[in-house]
This record gives sequence, C-alpha cells and structure tokens, in this order.
Amino acid sequence: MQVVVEKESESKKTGGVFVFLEQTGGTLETVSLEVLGKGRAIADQLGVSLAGILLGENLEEAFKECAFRGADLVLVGESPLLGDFTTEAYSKVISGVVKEYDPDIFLVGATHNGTSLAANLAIQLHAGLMAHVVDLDVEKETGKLLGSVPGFGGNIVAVCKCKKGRPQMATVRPGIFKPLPISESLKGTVQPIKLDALKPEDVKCRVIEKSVGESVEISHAEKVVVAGLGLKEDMTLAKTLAKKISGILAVSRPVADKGAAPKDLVVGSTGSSLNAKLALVLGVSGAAHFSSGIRDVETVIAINSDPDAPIFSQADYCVTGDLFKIVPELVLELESNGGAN
Amino acid sequence: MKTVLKEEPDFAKRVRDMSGEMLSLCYQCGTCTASCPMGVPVRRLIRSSQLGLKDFTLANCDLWNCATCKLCETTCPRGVQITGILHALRVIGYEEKKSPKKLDEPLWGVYEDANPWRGKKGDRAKWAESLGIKDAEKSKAKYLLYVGCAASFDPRLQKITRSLAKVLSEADVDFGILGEKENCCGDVIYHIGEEGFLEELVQNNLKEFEKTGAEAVISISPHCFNMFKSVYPKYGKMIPAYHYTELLSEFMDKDLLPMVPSDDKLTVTYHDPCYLGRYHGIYEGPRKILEGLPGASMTEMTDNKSNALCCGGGGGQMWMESIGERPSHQRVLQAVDSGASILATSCPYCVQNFEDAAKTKGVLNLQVMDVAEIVAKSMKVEV
Amino acid sequence: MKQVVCLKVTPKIEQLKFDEVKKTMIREGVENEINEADKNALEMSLSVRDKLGGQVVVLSMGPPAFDPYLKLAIAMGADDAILLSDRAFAGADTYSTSLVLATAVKKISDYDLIFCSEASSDGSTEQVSPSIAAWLGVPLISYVGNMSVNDGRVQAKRIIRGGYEVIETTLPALLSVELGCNTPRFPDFRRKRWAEKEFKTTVWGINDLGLSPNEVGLEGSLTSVNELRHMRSPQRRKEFLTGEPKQVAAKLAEIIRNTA
Repeated sequence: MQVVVEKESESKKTGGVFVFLEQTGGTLETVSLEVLGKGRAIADQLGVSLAGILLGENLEEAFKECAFRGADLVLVGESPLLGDFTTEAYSKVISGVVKEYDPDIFLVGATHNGTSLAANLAIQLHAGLMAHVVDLDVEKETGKLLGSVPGFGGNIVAVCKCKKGRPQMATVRPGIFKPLPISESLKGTVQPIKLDALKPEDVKCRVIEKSVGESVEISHAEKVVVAGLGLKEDMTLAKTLAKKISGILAVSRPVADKGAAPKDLVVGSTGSSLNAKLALVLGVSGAAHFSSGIRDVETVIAINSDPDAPIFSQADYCVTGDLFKIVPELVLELESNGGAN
Repeated sequence: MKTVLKEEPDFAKRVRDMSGEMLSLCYQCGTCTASCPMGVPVRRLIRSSQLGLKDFTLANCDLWNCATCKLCETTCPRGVQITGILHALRVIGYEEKKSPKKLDEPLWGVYEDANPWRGKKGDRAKWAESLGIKDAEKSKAKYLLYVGCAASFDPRLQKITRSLAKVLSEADVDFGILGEKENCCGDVIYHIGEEGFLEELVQNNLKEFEKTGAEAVISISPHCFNMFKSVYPKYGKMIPAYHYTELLSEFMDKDLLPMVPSDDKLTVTYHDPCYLGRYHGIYEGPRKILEGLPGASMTEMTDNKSNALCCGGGGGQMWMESIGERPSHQRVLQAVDSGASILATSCPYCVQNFEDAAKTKGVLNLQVMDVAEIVAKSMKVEV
Repeated sequence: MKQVVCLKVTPKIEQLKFDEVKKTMIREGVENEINEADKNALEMSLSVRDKLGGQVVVLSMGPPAFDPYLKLAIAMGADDAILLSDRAFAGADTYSTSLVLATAVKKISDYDLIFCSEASSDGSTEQVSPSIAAWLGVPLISYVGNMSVNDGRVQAKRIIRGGYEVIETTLPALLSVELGCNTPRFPDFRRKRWAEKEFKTTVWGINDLGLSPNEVGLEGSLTSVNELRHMRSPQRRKEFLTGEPKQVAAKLAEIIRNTA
C-alpha cells in the first residue's frame, strides 16, 4: 500500500464533509474512524467529498491508516506544538483549514478533547453544533444534516439541525457507528497543512504530568461483565467472571463514583455505549442513564436481588437472586466445561 | 520548645450549657473509653473539653466515630450523660466546619430528596403498592405509621415494612401513612450536629403530623422513634410517639394477633437496639412478643439488655467508613454462641449491619430477622 | 482573587415525563435543583477562596424562579449572585446561552478563575463551558477533578483514558469540573435565612448586557429542534430463569456458551 503525499496545491473551497481525526500517541481514536465511516456514508448521500484533519507529532502510521478508511483527502498538521492536544492550538489550526476549504459539514468524535475542540470551533466559526449525536441523517427536503441529540438522562432524543451558520457541526458519541475496514479501494490523498501561523504562544496549556496505564475501550468489547452497586464495590467476583468468559469489566456510574473502578469503565449516558454480543449485568438497577448504554448489546443477562429492578425490562435473561451465591456457581460451571471462548 | 495549647474559657461553658451537664462530674476514670465499642477516646474528649481546649478537642476526629450507643453512660460510675456532651461537641464542631466532609452527603440527600440515601421521592412509597393502605393526609386514621427512610427505600428492609403493615392490618389497626410525602425524621442531621436545617425539618414534620389528625405516631426504626419522643417536643407540640414493638406487645397481651400453630421450632435470640433499650428502657416488650410465638424458644446472648453490644450503626456511622472490625462482627458471633438460629432485633440499621457482618464472618446458619418479620411469619401472613 | 461560577438550575430528571402525544417534556409539578456538577464547581471555587481569599460570584441564566437557588449558593458561601433574566434569553441553544454567560462574565470583569460544570444533567451537551472560554479568549482546562493555584498559574488534574494528566495554564482561565469530584458543602442555614431576607440578587437583562435580540435566546440560536423522540428500545426477551443457584448457573452457562 503506498500513500501518495501530494505537494500542497492551490487551496480552494471544496465544501463537503470534514472529520476531525483524533490521535493519542500516534494511534487513532476508534471513534474518529467510526465518524469517518459515517462521514463517508453522508458524503456519498450528498454527493460530496470527505476529508479528514489529523494533527499531532510523528503521525506517519496514523495518516497512512486514515487514508485507506474512506477519506478522499487527509490534511495532516505535524508540529511539536501539536504534540499534546490543547484546545486553543488545535482550534487555531483547524479554524484556518475550515475557513480555507469551507466544508458543509464538520464532524468530531465526542471524546473529552473532541467535545472541547468542537465547542471552541463552533464559537470561532459561528457554527451550529449538535452534541453527542447518537444518529446522523440527511433531511430529504433540504439536504441539511440531522443529528439525534440525547438528553434528559438518555431516554429522549431531540432530532436537531443547524438552522444557521456554516459548517454544520456535530460531535458523535463513541460506539454508535462502525469504521470502514482498511481497503485499497478507499485510498485517498494526503496533504500537509501549512502551520506558519502557529506560534508557541498559541499553546496556552502545558501538560506537566501524565500517567497512563493499560486501558480498554469498553464500547468495542465483544463480551462485557457490567458490575453495579449490588456487588458492594468489590470487583473481584466480576473480574473473575469477565476472565472466564474472555470478556472485560465495565461498571455502572455509581460504582465509579464510589472510587471502586476508574471512570473510563462507566456504561451509560455519562460514559460509553456497549456494542457487545453479550453483557452480563450484575447488581445494576437499570436506571434511565444506564439503559442507553446497553441498548445495542445483542444478548443481555441481568442478575439482581430486587425483582422489581428496572433492568429486567431491558434484559433478555433475568435472574432474581443473590449475586454472591449465583455468580460463584456460574464461574464453576464455566470452568468445568472449558469456559466460553 | 513548648507546644502551647490554646484555652478558650467560653468553650467549656458552652459545652456545659448545651449538654446541661456538669463537666466537672467526670473524674477521668476512663471506664467510658474502656467500654466504647467504637474505640472512641471518650475520657480524653471530656478532659480536653473540661480544660477549654476547643481546637484540640475538635481536631480529634474520633469524635465522629461515636455511634451514640450510650454504653459509656451505663458504665460511668458518676452517671455523666456522656452522649449529651459529645453531641454538644459535634454541634460546635459542625459550626466550625470541622465535621467530616462526607457527612455533607446525607444532609444534601435529606434536603433535596427527603432521605439521606439518595432514593428518589417518587419511589418512597413503592413498598406499599397494592397494599391499599390509608393515605394519612387524605383520610384520618387513629395511628400514623411512620416508615422512615431506610425501611422505605432499601429492598431488604422493605420486607420489614410490608410485614408490619400486614400484621397491623390483620389486627384491624386503623393506621395511615404519609407515603411519598413522608420526610426524613432528621436523626442523621441531629447527629451530625447541624441545627439550622434540622429546625426547619422538624417544624415541617410537626405540622404534617398535626394535619393528619392522628392520635399517635408509630415508628419502625428506634432512631425515628427517639427523635419523635425526645427531640421533637423541644421544638413544638408533638403527638405521642411509640415504637411498633410497644403496640405489638400490647396486642400479644390482648390476644389480638392470630397466631397459626406450627411444629416449626425457632430458637431465637433478641438483640436490644441501643435506641430502644438504653435510650428508652424497652427490653421486655419485644421479648414478650417473641416468647408468645408458636414454637419459639428464647436464648440470651452475653452482653444483653442494658449491656447489649451496639451494632455500630447509630450516630451517623452508616455513612462513615468502618475502622477495621465493627462491633456487629462480634455480635453475630455472640448470636451463634447463644445457640440461636435466628438473631432477632427491631431496628433496620441493626438488621443491615448484622446481615453484612454474617456475610463477612462467613456465618451461614444464622438468620437475621426483624421482630415484625417473625410475627408476620408466625401469622402466616404473605409478605 | 475574583472567581465566577456558572450555575444551572435543572429539573429533577427522574420526575420528568415524556408526553407521547404532544412529543414534549411534561414539566408541570417537576421539582428543580442546582445541577449537581455545578455544586462540585462551586465547592472547588469556594475551596480556592478559603485558601487564597477573594470573592466568589455565582452566575446563572434563567427565569426569576431560579432566584432561591442562587440564594442557596450564597448560603453555601458564595459572596455575590447575578441572575441573567430576560424573556429574550429563552429557547437558547448552547451557542446563544454561552454568549449571554460570557458577556456577563466580561461585565463582571477582572476575574481570575471561571468555574463551570462539565455538563448539566438535562442537556448534557458539555458544550457551554468550552464555548464560554472561546468567547472570552481564555484557556480552558476541562473535566477537572482537582486543582490548585500558585503564583498566577493553575494546575489541574483530569482523568484521561487509562490514567490522568496534570495541565497547567496561566490565569485567567476557565475550568470545567467533573461531576462528583468533591463533596459540595451543605449550606449554612443561618446564612440562608439572611440571604432570603436581606440579600438582593443582581438581575441583568438584555440591555444590561448590551446585546440585541437577534444575538440571544431562540433567535440567536444556531441549532433548532425538529422533534423530540423516545429512544427506540430494543425488543428484549425478558425471560426469567428460576431455580437454586446451581441450576440457574447451569442455565446461564449454557446461554453464554451459545452466544460465543
């Protein structure tokens, strides 16, 4: 696979769909690839082109990948000043690109950084911005972008559009769309972004300490054990079961709030949506803010001691009982018959 | 280099005035500290208060580990009302912003959701669904059954509430509930030492109780019962307050509880909740109820009646991190030693703490039940 | 040290119901509260003031009915409260909301720190705080768990996937605060009673902010809502499995193996 890096040509207003491609340490965020995949579909629907903007340092591998994931054009900005994400510096570069190319639509994956960036850009560009959309569509009559914005705890969506301003912007919740697989037939061109205007004083924030361990994007796990307060903040049993089914551990919001698990494992409207084949939901009551997180799971098994827990109306298989009696038995059963792989 | 502790003469006076106690009665024998199940250095707190050392006293965070169980008062050779003194220290401590931060959470809970557990108001009366109980605001009833927060929201404790409601119905008692309108009794607020919000809460509750026209209020939790009996009258006119075991014991006497004869043998031991026993001298009533149940035989644990070992739940402890072994751990082992298969009690906090302790200690053959549940079972009432 | 804390009063989510016929939210009889994360933001600001002195001003955009909540913030310890209230402000999306709030912050002037929550419990867009920072041209540190101020610089810790990072920037800066990162202090009820009797909330309308009707509220919004919809719920089997733990476990193991 060869990536053709074109020399910078005369800039022109292309319109079309633009996507911010977020990377951390040279690895693309999965949500950016998801948005690129959906961006392709929307661009095709509108008969326009799709471009990605990628900023950072040492990006060779990253831009190689997105060039084959559906973008017609990948604009790359490499600079030590862009090594760490900072809203102000990234926004300065991107608003320059947007003003030059004048896209119709600009999409950003709703990570923490993406959300801050998108909001900043929306103000600078005086553009409408739809938040955390869980669906994107094109309005037939007008060709305008429609975004489904969740609110009120997660069970209600407001179907919104940008009535004024340009481009039409939206941040997209992780785990909703699917990335396109890497393919030769999707090859796009890569162009560098001129960064002359970017100065050290544009970087307003400095990272003075960073500590990152192993992390998991729960929205991409096939099998998940979701631990709720019913496990009384002790994750051992849940972790054991997760291991037995070759899955990962996730938690409900209150468990993370109590400090029993890190916040990036949270399932629900304030966390991630699961797309698993199987989710074992243990000791979770199933309030509205949680239910949106398991909506897209194929098979949901719920165990809770309260027969009236709302979770049971969101599950395929329901068990009322004592977690501390049932789960150890389940672990034994899975062990004795060679587990589930 | 000498460290000088600052003496504030007004501090000792204030503690005396608030507690109504002669601080000087305490002659520092240390029996209180020795008998405290929560490891609070009671003697030292009183000593530094006597000396007027406000900052030094309030810096001692052990003050907030007190479960207000009154065991120290039982053993004090001079009869000092120690809980009154500690309460005064907490009030001053709260004012000076020296209370543990995490205790602000139950306060917010009561202020915003009428309960310290962050249960939703709309769920407060879910336990009563399809039981057809009178709404005390709309129809006048003889008694107001005050459920309390823990017994309203916790699924395990709701069984106690339903048991009692059904037993009362079977005995043709005329009672009503406030349902979703019921507000916290304020016990946790009182013990955190907050007085401003407490006053508003109590005044509102007094108005609500009066509006119902009920003759008396019956509580499930001894903590609520104590608030109504001892604290509320200080704020205004309060209707008579009873703990439900007082009513059931009376009904036992009058044969108003139709028991179903049974071949089942129940070996029961009764744990005296601090707020029923040491606070209000109610020891015999619950025992009489249990003894009157078919097939029941009673045993006593060591440390019973006025010496009962606290479960460690009172005085705000349900919101504090446990510091190692809780006294409830020791208590369930005492229950096992007594030969009983059922550890009976009549306080929702005790039930929760003993069930947790039994799990922690791996005690499998001990059932923890509230008196109301055992009565309901003996009456073969479906809960 | 002057700090501004932006506050939103939100309905209690669990009490909201969706009218399936009219396709609107039913708001009658629903109780309000200070957005929980805004309490965390206010607590963080008050902690800074406890250490470094100065003033904490709370700011909120809403109808006069929000006033008791601003007084509650005063009771928690805030020094001053400003309500941005005007019919013209109604129906605003995050763009026009943030413009109104940012204009008010500019009018307050000479601020060192601005605190907002990461998100409100109703809209949950997470957009207002970074938008305000953009209008004001101040650096933003978002999703802050804890922070400190030293020598005109602020250091803030935020959780990132797999760990955390500490960011530093110069004042003035805007910090958006993570829900649940601290315990908000309970209001002082004596101060609350004083606030209810004596304290006068400053109210600014559109003219006080020098804005025009087409910049604010519904008119100034760049996004609009076509319709409200219930999220499609997937069809679930809701099949209850019964029996002793061992039996149930066996049934579950079978189901798990079949989904592999």
